[in-house]
Amino acid sequence: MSFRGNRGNRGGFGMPNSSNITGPGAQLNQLANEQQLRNAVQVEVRGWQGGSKDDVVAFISRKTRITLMSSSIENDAVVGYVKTQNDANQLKSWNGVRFAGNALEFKVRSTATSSTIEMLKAFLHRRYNQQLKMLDLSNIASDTQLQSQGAFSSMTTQSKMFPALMKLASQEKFIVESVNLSDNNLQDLSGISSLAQTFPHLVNLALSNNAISRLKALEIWKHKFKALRELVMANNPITSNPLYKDEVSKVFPRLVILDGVVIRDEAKLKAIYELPLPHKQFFFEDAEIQQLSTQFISNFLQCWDNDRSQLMPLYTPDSQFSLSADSSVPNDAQASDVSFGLYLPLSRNISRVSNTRSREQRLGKGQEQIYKLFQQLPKTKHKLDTDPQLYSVEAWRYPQVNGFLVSLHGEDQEVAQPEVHPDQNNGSNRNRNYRRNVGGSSSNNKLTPKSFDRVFTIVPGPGSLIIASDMLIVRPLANAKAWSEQEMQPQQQPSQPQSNTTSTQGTPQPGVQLPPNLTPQQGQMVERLMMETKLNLQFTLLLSEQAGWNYENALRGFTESHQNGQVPPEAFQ
Amino acid sequence: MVDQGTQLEQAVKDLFTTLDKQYTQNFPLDQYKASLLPQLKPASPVILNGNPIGGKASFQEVWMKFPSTQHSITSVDYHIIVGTGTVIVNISGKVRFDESGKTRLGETADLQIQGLPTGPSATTGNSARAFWGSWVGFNANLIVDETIFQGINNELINSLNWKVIYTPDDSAIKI
Repeated sequence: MSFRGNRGNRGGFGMPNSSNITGPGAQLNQLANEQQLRNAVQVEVRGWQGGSKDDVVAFISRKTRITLMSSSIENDAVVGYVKTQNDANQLKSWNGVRFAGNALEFKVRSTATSSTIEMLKAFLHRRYNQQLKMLDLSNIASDTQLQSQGAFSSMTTQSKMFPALMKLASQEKFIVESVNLSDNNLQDLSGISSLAQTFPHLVNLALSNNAISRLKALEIWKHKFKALRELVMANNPITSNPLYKDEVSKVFPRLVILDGVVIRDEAKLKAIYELPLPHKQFFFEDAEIQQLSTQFISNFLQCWDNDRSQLMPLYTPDSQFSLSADSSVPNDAQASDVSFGLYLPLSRNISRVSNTRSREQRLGKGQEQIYKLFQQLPKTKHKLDTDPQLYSVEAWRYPQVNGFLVSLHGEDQEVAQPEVHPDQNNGSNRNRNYRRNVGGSSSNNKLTPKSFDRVFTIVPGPGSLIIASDMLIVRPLANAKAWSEQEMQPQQQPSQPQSNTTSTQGTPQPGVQLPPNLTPQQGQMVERLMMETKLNLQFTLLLSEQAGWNYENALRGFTESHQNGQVPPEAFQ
Repeated sequence: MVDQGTQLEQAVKDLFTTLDKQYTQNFPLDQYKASLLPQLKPASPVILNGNPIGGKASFQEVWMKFPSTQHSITSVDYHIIVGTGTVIVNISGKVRFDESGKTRLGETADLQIQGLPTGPSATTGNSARAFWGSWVGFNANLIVDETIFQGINNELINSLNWKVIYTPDDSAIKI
C-alpha cells in the first residue's frame, strides 16, 4: 500500500526526496534500498590511534578508494560498514598499510556469527538515512536479512524488538527528525511507546498501514512529542472515528499536518509557542547609564575577586548589603555542585528565614558590617573579561535616589574558603551541626561554580559613585542560554531549503539548483544521473540516496524499476 | 506585631498572583487586562527579558500576549532606601508556562477543516485545562513605595524588571 490517493498530497513527510512517495516510487525506493542493504559488510580497523577517527576514515577512503560508512569507535577499533563483501575483501588486502606511524589492521566481521545486537545495529544502519535524518522502520518483518538471521524466531515479537532497536538507536546517537513505522501491523502504540523517549524532538512520523483502531491508544504519547509537526496515520481503522482529528490534535499540540491536511495555522502556532518578546542580553536605559554601569561592573567584579577591602570606599554608613541563598531556582548544575553550606548562615532570604532577629542580623548596614559579611563569603573568580556571554545586565534610572539600578546576572567559580568562617562571627551556637562541619572537609563547604543575580542601587557623585544598596542572590549554576542571543540568530535568518521544507512547496523542476548540502561529487553524480535517466531532480536525489551515492547501483536500480514499469510518469523531467 | 519582612513577602506573592491570573471565557477583556499587576503606576518603567516596556498600559498589553503563567517565589530580600519612601526588592523563583497550545485568552491555532468531522471538544477548546511545561528560573527586581507594608490596594510599583535566567532544554515555549 502507499499514500497514493491520499488527498493528492504526495510526500506525506513534506520532504521532496523522502521515501514516503507514491506507489511505483516506493518500489523504486525499496529496490534501491535493498540493493544497498543486501551487501553492507561490517569491518573493524585497528592501529588507527595515531590520528582521529575521521582522519583514519579519510585516509582509508583516499588510499583504498573504499568508503567506511557510519563509522564509530568501539573499544580499540573503528567500526564501520563497507558497501559490498568485495570491498571488504579488498580492504583486507590493505592490512599493514602505514597510517600515522602505525600499521593498520582490517578485520571483517562475519555477519553469520554476529550477535543479536550486532544484527539489530546493522539493521538500524541500513535503515538510517543520515542526510534526511530519517529512520525508516517500515515493514520490519519483511527485512530479508533479519529473516535470514532468524530475528523473528529469536525475538518472539516485534514489540520486544522495538525497544531494543530504540535503545540501540540512542546509543548510536542517530540524529533523527523523521521516523517511518508504516506497514508493521501495529494494533496500538504500547510496543513502540519508547519512541517518545528516544526521539522527543521528532518532527515527522508515519504510522500508515497499521491496525491502530482505538483513540485511547494515542494517550501514551500525550504531550510527549513537543515538536511533532506532521503525522501520517492513513489506512488505520482509527481514522474513521469522528473524534479522530480532535483527539490527535490534543495529543500532539504542535501538529500542523495530519494525513496530508493542514490542521493548524502554523504561523499562529509558532506565536503561541514563543514569548511575545525576544530575550536580550543587555538593556541600558541610555548611553550614560551604559557607560557608568559597564565600567562599574568590571571594576567591581575585579575588586570582588581580588581584594574586597578596595570596594569599601563605595559604601557609606547608610549603605546596605544582604545575601540570599536560593538552591531551588531551576538549574542544570551537577547535584554534587549544589552546595550552599557556606552561604546559609548568612542568607537573609525572607522566604526561608522566618526569625526576625536573624533577618535583622543578616542585613549589613554601613561599611563595617558590610565588609564583615564580604569576608565571610567564599573567594571567587568571575570570567567577565574572557567569557562576557556568561553575563547579562539591565540598568535603568531610579529617580527617587537620583541614581540608577544595575541588575547583573552571571556566574563565578568559588576559588577559596572565606577569610572568616561565617559561624565564627555569629556570636551564637544555634547551629551546632554547622559548627561541626567547619574545617573545610565537609561537602557542604565544597567550592563549586555558582550562578548569581545581584542588584545594585547606585548614586553617582562628583567624580565617584556610591552603592546605596547591594543585594546578592546565589543560586545553583545554570547555563547562560536564557539570555544568549547567538543561538537565536540562525532561526531569524531565512533558512535554507533543507529536509524540513514544507510539503506546500512544489516539486523541484529540472534545472533547479542542487540542494546546498550535497558534496561536489554528489552534485556531479546527480547531474550525470539526470542526463542518463531523464528523471527529475527529486527522484534523482531519492535514487542516489537509496543507492548510497553509488552511481552504478543507482543506474542499475533505475533500469530494473523502469523495465518493470515501476517508475511513475511524474518522476521524469 | 507582624514582622515587616513577612508582610513584604506576602505582598510580593500577591503581586505575582495578579500576573498568573487565568482568563475565563466571556470575562470582559478590558477588566481582565486591568487586573494584571494593577499596582503599577501609569508611567513606571518595566523591563521584560531585557526589553523596555513603557508604562502600565503597555505592560498589560504585552503581558496579555504571554502564555498563561504560574510563578513560584523562592527567595525575597529587600532594602528600605531611607529618605526616599521607596523599597527595593530582589526576588528569585521559578515560573512555568502553559504548553497546551492556547494563548492566554484561550485561542488556538486550530483550523476548521471542511469535510473533516469536528467533535464537541473543538468548540470547547477554550476551557481545556492548561498543560504546564517545565519550571523556568526567573529573577525580578521591584522598586515599590513604602506603603507596600500597609497592603497592595493602590498603585505603588515604581519599576519592575522581570527576567528569565534559566530555561530548561525541554521547554516547548521559546523564551
